[in-house]
Amino acid sequence: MAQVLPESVPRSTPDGIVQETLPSRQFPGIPLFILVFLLVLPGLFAPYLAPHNPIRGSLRARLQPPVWVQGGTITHPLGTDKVGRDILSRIIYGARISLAVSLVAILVSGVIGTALGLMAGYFGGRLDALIMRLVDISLGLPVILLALVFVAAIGASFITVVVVTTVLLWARYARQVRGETLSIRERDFIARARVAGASHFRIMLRYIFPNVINTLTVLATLQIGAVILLESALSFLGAGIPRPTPTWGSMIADGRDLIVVAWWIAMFPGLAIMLTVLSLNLLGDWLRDRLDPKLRNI
Amino acid sequence: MRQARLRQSAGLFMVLMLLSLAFLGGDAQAQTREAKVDRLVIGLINPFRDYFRAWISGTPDHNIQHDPILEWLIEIDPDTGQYVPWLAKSWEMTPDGRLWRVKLQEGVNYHQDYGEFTAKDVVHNHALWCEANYPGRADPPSSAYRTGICTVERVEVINDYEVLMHCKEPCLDFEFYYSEAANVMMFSKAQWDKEGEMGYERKPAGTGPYEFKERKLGQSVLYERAPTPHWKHGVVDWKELMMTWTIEESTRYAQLLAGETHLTEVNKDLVDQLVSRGYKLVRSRGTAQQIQIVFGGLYFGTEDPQTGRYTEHGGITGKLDPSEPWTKKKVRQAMNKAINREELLEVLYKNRADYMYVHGYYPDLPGWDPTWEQRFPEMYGYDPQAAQRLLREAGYPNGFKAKAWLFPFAGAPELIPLVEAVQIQLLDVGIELRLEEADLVSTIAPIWRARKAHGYLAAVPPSKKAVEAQIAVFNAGKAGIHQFETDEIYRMWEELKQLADPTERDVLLRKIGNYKFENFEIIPLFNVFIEVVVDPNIVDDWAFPGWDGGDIGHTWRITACKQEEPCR
Repeated sequence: MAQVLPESVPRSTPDGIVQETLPSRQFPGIPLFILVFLLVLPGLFAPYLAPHNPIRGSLRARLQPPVWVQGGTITHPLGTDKVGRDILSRIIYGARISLAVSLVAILVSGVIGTALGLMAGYFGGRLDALIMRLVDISLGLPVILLALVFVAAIGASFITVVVVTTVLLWARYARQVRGETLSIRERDFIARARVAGASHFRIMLRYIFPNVINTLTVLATLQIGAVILLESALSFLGAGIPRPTPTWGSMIADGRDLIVVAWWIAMFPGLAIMLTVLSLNLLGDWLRDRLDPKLRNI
Repeated sequence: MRQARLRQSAGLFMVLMLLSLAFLGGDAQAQTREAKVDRLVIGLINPFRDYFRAWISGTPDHNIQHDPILEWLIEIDPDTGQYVPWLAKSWEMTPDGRLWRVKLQEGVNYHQDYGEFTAKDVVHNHALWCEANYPGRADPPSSAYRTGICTVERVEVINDYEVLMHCKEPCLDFEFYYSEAANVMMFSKAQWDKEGEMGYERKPAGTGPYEFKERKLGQSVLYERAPTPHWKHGVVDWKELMMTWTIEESTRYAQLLAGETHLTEVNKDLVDQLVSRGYKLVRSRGTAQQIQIVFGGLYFGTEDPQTGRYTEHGGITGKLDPSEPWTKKKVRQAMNKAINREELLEVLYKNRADYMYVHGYYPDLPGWDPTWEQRFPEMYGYDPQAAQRLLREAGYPNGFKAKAWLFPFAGAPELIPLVEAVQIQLLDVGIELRLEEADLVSTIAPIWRARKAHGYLAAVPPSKKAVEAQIAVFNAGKAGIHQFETDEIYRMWEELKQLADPTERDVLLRKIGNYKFENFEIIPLFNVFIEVVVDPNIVDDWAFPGWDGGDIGHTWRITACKQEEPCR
């Protein structure tokens, strides 16, 4: 008689090791929905979606509460800030900054980190040691201090944020890719490629890279959230994108002085950050479950 | 019958006597009542530089931490705003304006047994600010008002309680430069001799009603009541007084609500919120600051044709970049006309300020021109169309891009929202501002000093000072901001310094004021008062003039609320 197993039960593998099956993760519909409506669509179509210009405002309309609070109006559904700018419009435009910084920073750091990780893992030896020490140094850098040094040296700008983020992120890609490469390079198909006369570059690009791309996708997805948090932290500290360009972090900073009289200034961008990062993490987890062969095998 | 009336009268008399005794007794009891807390905690924004050595702190606007312990020669009376005796008992000037005879208070003793305050301390403090190579002083003086302070070139001691201050040129503003509105406070010569320069940082000895107790750099300073009654103010209300530094407004607000502080300064939105919760608003008795926006880069001086070099005074600089839009007068006027002052005053300053017209000029000080008020609407008044027309005429039909600094400033919590509001208003005439957050002391001040502020606007709150002193610092290149320098203004300032007749001086000051006014040297905004919020259960009142050191001084005038009910 067939036994119905509960969703999560210990299961013995042929070698006798007891493993626990994980409940299969559902498709992250809600997180994806949030991401699309909070990050992607606003980021791409901000000028069409925002009801007001995010850097213009009217002083006389300052500190208007959200529409559902007494004194609020539908003109400014999420209220206005201390100089009368529309919070909703600024959140929409802020998504564009978050999206742009995340994509550029992850692309640049991903390319650099992957290239170095492939070389370190494939060639090994002194090059590996050198790159890994650089990785150790990079992972040991204090984020905020580094950002402040960059801002002091080259000024606050979009480029500065991307540079700081890249300097901090590339090492994670390098370390992950190196680990994968170390195991892949010992596989038979790599040996066969060598025998067939493929160059190192070709082996890395055509045979190893496709095998690490799943890992990279998961890592990148998880790191978008981290980049958004970092960008927000930098903007909060005044080391991010200069004002009046709206960013979620600087909006929170704007609201902190008036949090007792106008909670909505800091609340809504904070909520936007939280929902976006949470959704990205859930999406990343789901992707990892789907793409990571080790987890699939369980 | 008569006896009965006598008995009645005697009885009434006794009752009245008893009532009087009870009343007087109760009153005497109330008189002797102590403050409800031993330690008064004042929540402030931040120290400009956390030094006690005032000659290197650069500005007198941040001497709040000196105020409880150190004293000046001359006080600013909180109620009248006039110069009144302090460590100087009296002073008089010779007709040529080059000599001041100053008589000193007798019997004033320094804390920590450093002896009596005498003429030698005056000589010592003058030397600290003015002598190029004063023995034992490691850091050179950098006070913004040093030029005026050091117009007194020599202090001659007549006896322990009398000095003659010899000026190299007429020094009509001696009272200002040696008052608490500037920063020559009287440190102890005996402490210097015994402990050296750093003794002033470790535990400065003063003559004030409080003694220094402890300092945590960047966090707080703690003072305790001097063991003996103060020579002038008697016994102050608080056993201890603490100043804490907290940059964030909401934290200062919360500290007051939680009872961690008893007095604080916050922006006007939070002030109103606190007042609605029963806290009490206390304002400076007079105008404290002028809120204005300066154009970086108005360095119109030309190279000195005789020497072929830039003069040490900086009036002649060669640092002008003519490609900067606001080096054109029409652009400066356009930017002025793009500003809706009425809106800023009503919304940001809650109508608790007055319009200002010319930087450094006040109705109660020499040089004031009453016509400015009438001429202001036509020349500076809000008119976006006129602003756009002026920009077109100046060659900027589509406006231009520029930058502005954002920084917090003690005593001026509206500065940052003000700049953001101005950014929005300028956008309406096509001027796009990029706002940069920067540290005033470490980043902005050196750029200003080096005359490299091209392309930057900055909202600044210069404190009320003597008119000549402001021209020296802001226009004649003697320190700081270099907000508007021309050969003409420099020449007039040099001429001004030679005048000993107050009437002639008044006329020339007015001429300089008009020159500044007609050249749109700045975007003048408001004369403001300093506002603090106090816990009325703990604090009764605080009388401070607003233009004493630190803008908020006279800490000995913070009186305790000694009644059961809050002191409304």
